[in-house]
Amino acid sequence: MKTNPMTEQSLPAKRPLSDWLRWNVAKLVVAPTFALIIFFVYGFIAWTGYVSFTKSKMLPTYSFEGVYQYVRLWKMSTWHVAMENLLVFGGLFILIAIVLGCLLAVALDQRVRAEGLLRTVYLYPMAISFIITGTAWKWILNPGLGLEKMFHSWGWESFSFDWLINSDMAIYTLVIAAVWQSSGFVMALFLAALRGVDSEIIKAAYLDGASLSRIYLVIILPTLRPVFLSSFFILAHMAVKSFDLVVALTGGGPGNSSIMPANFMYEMTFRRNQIGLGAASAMMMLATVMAIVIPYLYSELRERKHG
Amino acid sequence: MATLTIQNVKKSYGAVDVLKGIDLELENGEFLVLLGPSGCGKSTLLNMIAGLDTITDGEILINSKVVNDVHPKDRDIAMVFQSYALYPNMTVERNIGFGLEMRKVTKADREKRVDEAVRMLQIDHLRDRKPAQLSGGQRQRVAMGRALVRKPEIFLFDEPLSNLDAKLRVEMRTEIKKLHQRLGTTMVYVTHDQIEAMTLASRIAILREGEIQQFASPQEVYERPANMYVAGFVGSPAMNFIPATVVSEDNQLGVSIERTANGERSSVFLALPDDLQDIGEWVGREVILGIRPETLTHRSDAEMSQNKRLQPFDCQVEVLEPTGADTLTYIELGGREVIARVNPYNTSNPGETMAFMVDMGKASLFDPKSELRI
Ligand SMILES: Nc1ncnc2c1ncn2[C@@H]1O[C@H](COP(=O)(O)OP(=O)(O)OP(=O)(O)O)[C@@H](O)[C@H]1O
Ligand SMILES: [Mg+2]
Repeated sequence: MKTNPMTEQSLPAKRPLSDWLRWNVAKLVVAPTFALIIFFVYGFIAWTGYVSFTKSKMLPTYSFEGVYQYVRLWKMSTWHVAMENLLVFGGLFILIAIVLGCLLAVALDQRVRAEGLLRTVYLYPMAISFIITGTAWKWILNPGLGLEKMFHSWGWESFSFDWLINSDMAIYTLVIAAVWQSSGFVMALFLAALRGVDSEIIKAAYLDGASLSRIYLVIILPTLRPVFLSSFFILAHMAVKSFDLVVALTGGGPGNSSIMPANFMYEMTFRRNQIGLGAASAMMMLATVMAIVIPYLYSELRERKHG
Repeated sequence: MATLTIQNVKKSYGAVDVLKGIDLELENGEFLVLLGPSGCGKSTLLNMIAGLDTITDGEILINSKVVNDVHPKDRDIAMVFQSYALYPNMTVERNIGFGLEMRKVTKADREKRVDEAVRMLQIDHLRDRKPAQLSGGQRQRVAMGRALVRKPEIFLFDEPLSNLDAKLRVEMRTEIKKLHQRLGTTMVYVTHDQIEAMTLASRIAILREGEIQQFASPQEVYERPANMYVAGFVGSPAMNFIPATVVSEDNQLGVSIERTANGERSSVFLALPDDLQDIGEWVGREVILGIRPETLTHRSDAEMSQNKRLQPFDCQVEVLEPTGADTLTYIELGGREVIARVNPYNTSNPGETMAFMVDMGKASLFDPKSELRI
């Protein structure tokens, strides 16, 4: 190519630099945050992973001790309680929030009046932090302050609702509060998806003779599979992470009856000077999240590849 | 098969009157096309026939029975939607059979009827696919299949071909026509494409802003449009509208039109045919003369001597647009641009004066104020 020798000669050095900048400006902008994430997220995951294989107590030590902490962890009854609680809480919370959110969305989809207002009312709890939710529900469920006292003052003396101080039932109060906070969010997800459904499909189903419940069950909800999946994963990771709600609502009690893995981890690492044990429990939580996320990513990627 | 009667049907959304009193009457096995521009209320009317939308006022009768309050599923109507509206999570087979499934038709019977439908529409190799795995034309066929298996009294189509490419549209149009001839079912078909309307309809209803402009056979709509709106909407290229004055010459009524010939401005007299001789009250007044391009062509003395309605005039040619079969010749009459359809071997060059003849037997006269046919 000898079309323009003048410019090529007069700009011998500048050209490559500006070209290089143009192609790499995006990478340059992203680089700092990328480095920070690598260090503070994945770096510390790796560090925690290593520490979980040591006998660290108050301060981290770095001599490798194998699975000692994991064996200790799984021998602790409190850890078993925490994992069982996670299973009960997570299962109920995810199930109820999705079912409730889905029903609310279907109800709102019937073009009810004041829909905008209702949507805000249901969505609003999501804007509150779990600490506030926990504190508010602690007052509501407190037998001496909230619901029970209210019914008593209305003359229903035999009414009793003491789940908060009942070690068999305390875990369910967490479910109630978490569902209250999150089902509006799930509803918003579903409502947006329902609004995206072609109204002609519903008309066609009417003409085909399907009842309203049939239309939702057989035609519309199956098309919302992606929304079910996203809600499930959002709620699942909220469940595994739940820490502040427990702190504010039950404090893990009565006793350790409503403790969750995150609380266990905090307790061991920062209160009882058992950094190694805390790290091991943190790694178990990571494994739990992985067990959920990896199949999801796998199925997503595979679906993308198949078009 | 069924008759369909629509009596003074109105529809308002709040203060907006979308349909302002529609009257239509369909015989058994008729093919009605609702033709009109976007937003004139075609889909609204169709949805009301199907029962998917409430009626503000008036009555809809199927087989002489008022169905205003009958649930859509009990009206024995099937509809093909513009977006096809296939159920995305069901296979083609289940999509087609779903209406029968809901009506508790036995599995064996259902399979037989679905089989018949997919064969008829030549989609039997697609029966296990999901809608997302089909092309637009194939989805269209599935949507038709879903309507077909139900063997309804009335078929409704809401612009079923508007999402297809030009070639497929023509093919499917023919198939719909064949389908109607084979089944003989009453059909109502919505479109804004006047060619679709002309080719398919046994009668056309032209809608404009919620009012019916004309309800007649395609030929009648084409030859005797009820007003200037219909005349301009149907036909391509559109009908020429020429301002003219009604005059009487030698005891004969005709129209006088301004034009340029041989470099001079002058009027030309075109005699009106016998069936338009009784408009004496219009003498001396302005009218709009409506002439279809194909009735305006180069002069042939042989033809003129046979047909008294052919009227001659000369006019200067402005522009030529060859289309292959014919050359569209632009001339100026009464201050308007007018198109004549001329055989390519008989054209004159732009700027020259050419000899034309016009078939006044096929001309329409309109009142310039009300725009109605005279
Ligand atoms: N739910 C509604 N609320 C208010 N106005 C409506 C509603 N549905 C339709 N309209 C109005 O009614 C008119 C007719 O709508 P319709 O869908 O029947 O038009 P159409 O003739 O089918 O047009 P197109 O060819 O674009 O489909 C439009 O002006 C539209 O804005
Ligand atoms: Mg429409």
